[in-house]
Amino acid sequence: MIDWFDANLVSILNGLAIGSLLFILAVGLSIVFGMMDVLNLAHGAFFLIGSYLAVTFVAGESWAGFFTAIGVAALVGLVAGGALSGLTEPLARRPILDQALLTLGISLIVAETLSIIYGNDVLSIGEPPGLDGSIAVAGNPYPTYRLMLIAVGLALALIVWLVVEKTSIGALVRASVADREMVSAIGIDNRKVKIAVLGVGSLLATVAGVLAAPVYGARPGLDKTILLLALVVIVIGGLGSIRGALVGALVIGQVESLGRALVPDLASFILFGTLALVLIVRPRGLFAGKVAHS
Amino acid sequence: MLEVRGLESGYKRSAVLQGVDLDLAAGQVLGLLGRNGVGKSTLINTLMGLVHPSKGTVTLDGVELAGRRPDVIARAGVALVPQGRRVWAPLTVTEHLDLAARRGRGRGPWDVGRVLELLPRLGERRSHGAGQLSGGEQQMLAIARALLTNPRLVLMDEPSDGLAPAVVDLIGEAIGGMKAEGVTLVVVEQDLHLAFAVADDIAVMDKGRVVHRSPTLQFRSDSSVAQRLLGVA
Repeated sequence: MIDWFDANLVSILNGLAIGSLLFILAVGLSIVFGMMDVLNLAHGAFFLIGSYLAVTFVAGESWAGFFTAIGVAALVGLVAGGALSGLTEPLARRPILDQALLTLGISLIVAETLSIIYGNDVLSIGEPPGLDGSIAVAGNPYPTYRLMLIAVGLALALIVWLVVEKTSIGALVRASVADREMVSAIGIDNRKVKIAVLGVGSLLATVAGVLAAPVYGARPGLDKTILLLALVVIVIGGLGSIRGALVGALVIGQVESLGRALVPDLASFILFGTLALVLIVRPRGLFAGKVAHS
Repeated sequence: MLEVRGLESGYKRSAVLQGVDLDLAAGQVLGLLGRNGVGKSTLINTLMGLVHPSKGTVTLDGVELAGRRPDVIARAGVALVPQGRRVWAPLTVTEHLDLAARRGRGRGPWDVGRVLELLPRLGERRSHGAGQLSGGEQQMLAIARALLTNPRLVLMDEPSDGLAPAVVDLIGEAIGGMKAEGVTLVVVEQDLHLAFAVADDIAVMDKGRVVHRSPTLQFRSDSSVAQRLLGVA
């Protein structure tokens, strides 16, 4: 067992890094879906905006560039999420598919615009200075930047969990996931909650795009790959559940990384096999956050 | 205080309310009775803005509320204790109270301390998740949540539904306490014992309209009305 662990340590750490990124990405998507039934298919496109912003500000060459990219990405994400909330509002009483189609349209426009601006080549950037080397982990060299990614991901997971579970704003968000009509019936305007949650969720997506750029680069199609993984995460974890998004992200991170390392030919099957298995055993996900009222 | 005129509403394929007229004076408690499916809950949900009316007016102290959003109606002074309680299961009792109290702070006499005096059982359950509470405790929490918004009008939809008789008595006492504080109430109820105990007036609905209205004492003394409209002796 120890030998197996040692042999696969790098893959396990890679899985943790992917899982951390996926959590940052999926948590906003999950809360918005659980709370407002808005399936935001533009989430992957927001991630891609972050990745291209990292390229634009040459985040790999200096810390100033890196933090500028993070700051601009956060602002763009916040504004884009707020705008998306306004765009979906007129469709609030219509079927969920209408909203999904709107966000799909937006994601196609964003992705195409990015292709026109940046071209169709894979653009890669390096890690910020000081994080471009590697550190020995149990005797295995491992990229420093990815370790930082794991730490940032877990720290963000903790912050999001604390905000949602331990603050009055978080209580409002959880109440909205459970029964938003009753939130409205005590005098709270649901639309403002939705703008805030979509804004912060989109901010997390664009910031995740910057953080991931030194690992995945920026290229057309990355938005769809990432969105698909995030959707798998929230379906496995349960819509609207922070804990579910965390566990789902860590599971999918390991399935992606260990799966590709151990059985490369079957990696995709394992990913969707895990999804199918969870859906058969627990159709509402591992930690369903949306509670039906009696 | 509350004036409802010609209110019509319903759901996609069925019109439920067929022209409801209703008046309520400040501080009055109205027991709203009727057989299943006559539109009592639809009326409550339409007054709260959860169901969109197709016609008619609802005014609260002269302010038009028909067709407004639920949060606007709530801020105008209307609160709902819904059928099935609809407490937020993932939140604790304290979180419920804090969330509602923040909306109602400074707008009236009700604060957390006062509400817990009225519903002392909740005070013992403050750290519990709402999903772990008994049906009666959840009902008390739903009442507390409504009261903490400091409403002028409380709409209660079947508060005794599914509760043991001893708990129904506690709910009746809570309604009595609210009435003593001058809260105006519309109480939809199947439990005639509870309705008669708390209501000043009884209104009966049939086929989407209010077809009878009389003081509770008068309604009780004329059993033929109850028999004709409710099918009870």
